Amino acid sequence: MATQSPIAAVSGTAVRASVEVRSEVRAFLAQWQAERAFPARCDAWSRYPDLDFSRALGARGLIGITWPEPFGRGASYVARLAMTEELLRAGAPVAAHWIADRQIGPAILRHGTPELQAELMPRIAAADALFCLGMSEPDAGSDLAAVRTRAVRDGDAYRLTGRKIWTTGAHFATHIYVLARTTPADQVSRRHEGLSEFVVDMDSPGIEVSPIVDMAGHHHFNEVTLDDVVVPAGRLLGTEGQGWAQVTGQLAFERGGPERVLSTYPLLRRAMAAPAVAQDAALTGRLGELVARLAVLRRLCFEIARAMDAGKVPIQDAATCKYLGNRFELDVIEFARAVLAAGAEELRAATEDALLASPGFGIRGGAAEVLLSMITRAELSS
Amino acid sequence: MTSSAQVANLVADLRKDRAIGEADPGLWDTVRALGLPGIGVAEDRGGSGGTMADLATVVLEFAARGVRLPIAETAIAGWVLQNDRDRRGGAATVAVLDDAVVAGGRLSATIRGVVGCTVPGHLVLLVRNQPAPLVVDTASAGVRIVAGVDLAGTATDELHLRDVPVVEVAADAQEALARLAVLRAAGLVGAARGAYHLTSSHLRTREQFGKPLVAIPIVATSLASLRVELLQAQTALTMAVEGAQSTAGGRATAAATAARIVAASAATGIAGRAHQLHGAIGTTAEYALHHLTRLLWAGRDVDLPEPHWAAQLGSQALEAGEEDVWDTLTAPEPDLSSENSTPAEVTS
Repeated sequence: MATQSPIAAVSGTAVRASVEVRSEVRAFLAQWQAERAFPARCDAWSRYPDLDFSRALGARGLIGITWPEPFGRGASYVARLAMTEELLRAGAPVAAHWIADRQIGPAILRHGTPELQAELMPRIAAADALFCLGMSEPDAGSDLAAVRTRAVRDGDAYRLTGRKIWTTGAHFATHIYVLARTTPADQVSRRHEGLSEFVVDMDSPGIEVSPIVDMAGHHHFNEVTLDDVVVPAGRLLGTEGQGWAQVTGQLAFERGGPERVLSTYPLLRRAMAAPAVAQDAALTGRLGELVARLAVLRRLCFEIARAMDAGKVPIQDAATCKYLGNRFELDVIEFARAVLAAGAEELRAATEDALLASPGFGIRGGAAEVLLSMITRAELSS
Repeated sequence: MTSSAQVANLVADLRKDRAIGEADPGLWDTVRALGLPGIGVAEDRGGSGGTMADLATVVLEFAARGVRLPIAETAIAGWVLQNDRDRRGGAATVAVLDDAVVAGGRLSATIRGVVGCTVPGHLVLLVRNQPAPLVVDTASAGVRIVAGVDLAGTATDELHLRDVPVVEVAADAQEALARLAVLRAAGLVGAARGAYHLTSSHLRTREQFGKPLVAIPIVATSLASLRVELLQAQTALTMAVEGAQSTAGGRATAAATAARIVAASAATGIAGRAHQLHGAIGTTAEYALHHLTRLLWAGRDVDLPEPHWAAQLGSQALEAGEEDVWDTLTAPEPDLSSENSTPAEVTS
């Protein structure tokens, strides 16, 4: 996105693709709601997985839609954006397949061997292979290059030993993506060198998962220990030692999506329906502000998707979108709280649920402070 | 090169020998002679042709250089009057009123903050929640003009109307208000961009503790926050300009209002941060910053005060319901039916 020419234009193809997918997803959701129903929840892309829902979505070909045939339908990122927006809007239970769809599938497509792709892509698309992210460690959060999990080459395989933490969904995942060090830190000239990416089967001997209960009393996070886990060399993604450059490419996918803006949209949808909003001028005004910001944020996500369709990797824009989006998500909760205070008791459970989930928004996938400093660095070097 | 890029270059050229905010008494005459305020209205209707994007670019690029001329006001007046064969093509400006009671074809009112008013000439009045614009002949008896300046140093008049004849114009006042809001957002984004670049440049050159200020992490982060706010406002403006060039009325109004809201909010943050990051030098008359920050502060409340816009969009959202909020008011895909809408032709 240029700062020098703020007046830009958009193509008709991008728009039409978007509109078609929206209809398709809405039809699917309407059918599911009629037959099975799900409660519309905030942050449903990261909590409350529903394997049946994910499988049904997969059966309709709605997982991996951007992947080239035969793995997917080769749709654009703009089309995928429309799909993910509708799912988040509805508060649908997409958590089980979200990470695989969003970033692991693309990572395997970009860097995995043809054999690995043939093995896993259809399973991911069917929500049969479910992924968790083995990135953060007790000593490596924002500073991801500080990971210490070791991967030692041993003949046709690697042996992985280490501890991963904050691993959402490890307790039901079939596979774990692991970022590990193949060359020790003291043997590389720059600390980002010597990292590698692996796909590991969760049922490999030597993997242990222990739950971490969050402040709401829910279990989504886990700690995962790897004790001399044997990983066949074919499950290395890309080039040994080049993991950092490879994983950085994932970050645009991870940060620039609408789940960084719409986690609390189901709550906004409910809050704006409360009679108190129309009756109270201050609440009406606050709604207006949120609607204005929502429009801009949805457009920012759209621009990021367009950039990705044009083959770009808009890391700085994705960081900006996430930074602004997370603030919006929090402000939606505060709006709901104000509406609740005006007497809308029916909002209490959803507001409190969202509030307890909210600390994660500005922390996961790139802490706000880190994003800002990234944006700064990009600015200064331009 | 797009037409917007061409007008941007034109503005840059007009100001190339001037500092930010530096006075240029002949500039308004030059701008009028070039037909810039007529952009967005067809040539056979008293305008210069061109698009809303072009017009917004003109306003933005001047604002980025600390300059506010009556371009937006003149342009919107021209847009409203384009089908009025007697009045179009002459000197005209626009002002916004919260309320106006017309009795027997006459109006009494006090109108503040009027820019670009000339005698002889016409004053177009856009009244909140009223469908038709009103027009006043400024040479009428009963019109008293008190000259002044606003917070940003822009020449603004206070008009006192006593029983002045007014006529309704066959145009859509709400659409005119939306177009004006887009141009106001453009002015704010321009001034914000100017303030951002000035600040960025200052932080890279000014040294303390043996290095440029921007080397201090918290300073750099503050600059990044400023940049993020600017980006948000620029995106809102892009959507609003697209909306103005689309036929979907509800969406155009929402996008214009949203841009006004986001730009005003960004203006507050950016003006504050820019001053904070400049230190004392930024508060002097000689340094360029105040030309930009005063435009930012003043621009938030021009026409109607800032809170009005959020209240308006909130009401529009409630009336539309969530489905339309999602599908129309906040949809990221632009409406591709881009024809410039024009008010119905009238005989007068």
